[in-house]
Amino acid sequence: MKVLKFLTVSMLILSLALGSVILCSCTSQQTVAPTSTESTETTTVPTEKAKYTETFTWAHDFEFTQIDPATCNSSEMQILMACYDRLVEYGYVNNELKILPVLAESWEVANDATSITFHIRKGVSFDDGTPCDAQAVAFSLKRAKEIKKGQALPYDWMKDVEVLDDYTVKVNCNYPYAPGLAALTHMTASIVNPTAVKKHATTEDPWAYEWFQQHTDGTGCFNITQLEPGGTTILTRKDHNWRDDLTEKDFQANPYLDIRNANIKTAIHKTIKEASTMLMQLEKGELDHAKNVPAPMLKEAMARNSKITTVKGGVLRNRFVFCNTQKSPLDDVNLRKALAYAVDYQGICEKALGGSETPHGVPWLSAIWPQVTEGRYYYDPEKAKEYLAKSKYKGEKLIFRGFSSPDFEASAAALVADWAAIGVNVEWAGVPWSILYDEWILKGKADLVMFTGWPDYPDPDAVAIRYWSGYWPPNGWNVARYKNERVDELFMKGRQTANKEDRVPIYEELQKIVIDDCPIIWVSELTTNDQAIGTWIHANVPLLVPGESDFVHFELIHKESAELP
Amino acid sequence: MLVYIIKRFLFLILTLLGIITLVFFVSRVIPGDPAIVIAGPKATLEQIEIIRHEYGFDRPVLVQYAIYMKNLLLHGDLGLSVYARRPVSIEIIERFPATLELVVVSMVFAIIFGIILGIITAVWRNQVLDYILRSVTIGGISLPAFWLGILVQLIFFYKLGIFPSTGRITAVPPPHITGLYLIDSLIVGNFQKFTDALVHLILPAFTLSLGFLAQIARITRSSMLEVLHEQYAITARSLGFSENVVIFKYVLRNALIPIITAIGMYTGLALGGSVVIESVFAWRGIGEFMYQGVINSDFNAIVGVTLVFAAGYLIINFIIDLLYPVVNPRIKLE
Repeated sequence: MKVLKFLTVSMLILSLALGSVILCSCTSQQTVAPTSTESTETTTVPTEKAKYTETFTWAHDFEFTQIDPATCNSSEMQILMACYDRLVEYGYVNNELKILPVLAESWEVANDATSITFHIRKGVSFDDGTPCDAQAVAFSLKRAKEIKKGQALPYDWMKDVEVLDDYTVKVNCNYPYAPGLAALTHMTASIVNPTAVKKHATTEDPWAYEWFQQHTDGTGCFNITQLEPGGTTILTRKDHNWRDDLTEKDFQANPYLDIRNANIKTAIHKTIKEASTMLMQLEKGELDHAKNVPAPMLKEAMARNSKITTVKGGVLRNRFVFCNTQKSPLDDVNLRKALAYAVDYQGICEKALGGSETPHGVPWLSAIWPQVTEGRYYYDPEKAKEYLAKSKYKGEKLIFRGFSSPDFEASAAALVADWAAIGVNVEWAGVPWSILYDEWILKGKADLVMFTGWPDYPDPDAVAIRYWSGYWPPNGWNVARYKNERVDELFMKGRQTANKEDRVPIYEELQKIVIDDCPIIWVSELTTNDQAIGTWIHANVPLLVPGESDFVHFELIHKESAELP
Repeated sequence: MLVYIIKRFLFLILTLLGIITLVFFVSRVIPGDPAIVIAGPKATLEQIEIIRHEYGFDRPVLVQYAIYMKNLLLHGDLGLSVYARRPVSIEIIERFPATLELVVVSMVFAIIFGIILGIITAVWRNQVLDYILRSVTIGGISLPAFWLGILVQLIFFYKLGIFPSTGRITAVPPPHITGLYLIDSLIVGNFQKFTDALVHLILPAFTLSLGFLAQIARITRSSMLEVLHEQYAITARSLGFSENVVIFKYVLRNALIPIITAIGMYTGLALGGSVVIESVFAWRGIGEFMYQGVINSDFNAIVGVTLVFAAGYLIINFIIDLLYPVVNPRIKLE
């Protein structure tokens, strides 16, 4: 029995040790944190040029699967932004959304909106010494237009790119296209090394798409040195980058170029699916930033740990519900208005979305000019009932679909309850993207579809297109299948009018019609986004640059190692 | 014996072909268009059509099946993953070592501790220790793996800071030789990497193994109880053999057949169980690849990984069948 006794005693000791450890850990004191949830984005940091020494580690719940900038459209943008530059980008300067110079020092848009001339920054080169000149710019834009792979944005409006001299290019449009300059702020217009493209191109793959799926070759501050989609991807700062030689004048023109306080040498990206795991790692200091943590979880984490805070930044995004205007009973504007007035916008934002979004009720994003607020929808159940009584609704069950994610589920549950309160029967289900698009949008089976959306570029054209009948699925994202001839006319007129002052009344009229027709219920707007970050991370410019969504730009931050937990 | 092996092998091939066929057609009838996933939310119809053509989704399902089987049987080609945008076979080859390492360590842990617990509870049947350990094993079977995963992260990473919570290693892995980090780091003599990989392995392996450990313990217990009072055990005791000899030489050996059968089944199931564990622990194996495949309507990934899981399950059980005569010479394979 000696062996048995030994085994039994060993197991008992092991169990007791494990049990004690678990018990101790469960009863240990939690850190009590201050209740402040203020952002640290304006924290003062040293102004002298820092050495690049620190490692910035962040996690995202989404896995990127390709890194060609011409075809990117998702979380990989955050990585690619550090590796590539565009001619222009956009961001907030003194609370105003502006198009800012990057590789282009200046530009002129033709009066008839048929061309844009860019004057390219001198002295910028790729890692192999290839100059980033007019030839490189023309080549990259042609590649973006013709690659037609993956998620590449259509550049049908772009006719060609003329090289006027070594550092001047002229982008010609196929037709007058006022949003052209704004469209070139998109990541797909990144400038790539033409030498690398030509070197790795094949007959089947003339744009070296396969090579750019695995490698980076741009003029950004970083290069990918380890690529492991779904695992750990490592970016390493280049020894020298053109930004190192910038002057005060350049920083005034574009504060996002300012890297004087960025001390990041290495950036590590991890894919972690569980928000709770991300938060745990952030609290332990293993992560500097956890992306997409649901607001309620983040609030709890901040309450128990003083080392967790958030950064706020501008985001161009709103949450809305498309009403299928071509399908009974939502082809009746009275029913659509009834649904719009039945929504407790404030309640959804505060309770279902944890205060992370603000009530909306109008078609235009507040950061995009010219927003019309007259006729804004608000919570008025009595008015909703009046419109419902005037409608042809007879108690049919409306099919409501959207993504299967926590914020969608929470806001959809609140919407269904609000509509039930006025007597409208709605059935909700959250589904994966491929099913949502194929089954419910493309085939038009759903009566109501919830989306969160953002314009591809900071121009009213990118918002107005949602209401253009030429943008019905499968050609675009007018999921409401809304059609109004005057709106179509105004949309095309706005697109082809070069002067901003002339475009304002066009988009104002368009918005008034759309508000009255109510093809969409505009639930909430995300103007600032809280992202979980450690208090040891600072920035002297807003961390989150809109347009490229709500990404933390690690090339703009300062990390205090001494403050790590 | 040889005839038996050949017959079993042919049966294994036929079963795999049946599984591939079934999964192929089932994955194609579920809603969702993989071309839309690849194209992304901003793509035009033209781009989606190009992708459909590129991946062959625009052809009739039977034609797709014929092409798939031809490529698989003639070239071992499992098609392109729409999610990873690479051949499924390459993705599986790259990721399989991660899953293998996780499953092997988990099952070694489950087998050793499961059998020990089973023996203890059988020998001390209906005593306090038996009741306690049986309660623990029932708990082990009942706990959902994803919940247990988060719980162990909370305790051993967040509260105690003993083990890392995600990933296979801190930053840079050892040079790729086998893809098994424990082995590769030993081959290159980098003990720091070995320790790093080992501590990363402990929590996911423990989480994956707990349910199987509990099952093996319960099967060992019941199997031991059946033979503990057999005539030969009583005879051995009456002849003056020590209890250790009786239990480990006679009783355990005769009780091993159902335990080995269970181990074979559970090792196969552990491959499938890795889908959840790998997602919780950000473990870049084929389980995680399968999870992404399901989310993104990646048909080829689903079929490819199912093929690996099914082949693993069948091969392990085939080996287990061959082991029966070794454990009990009275059994002959026919």
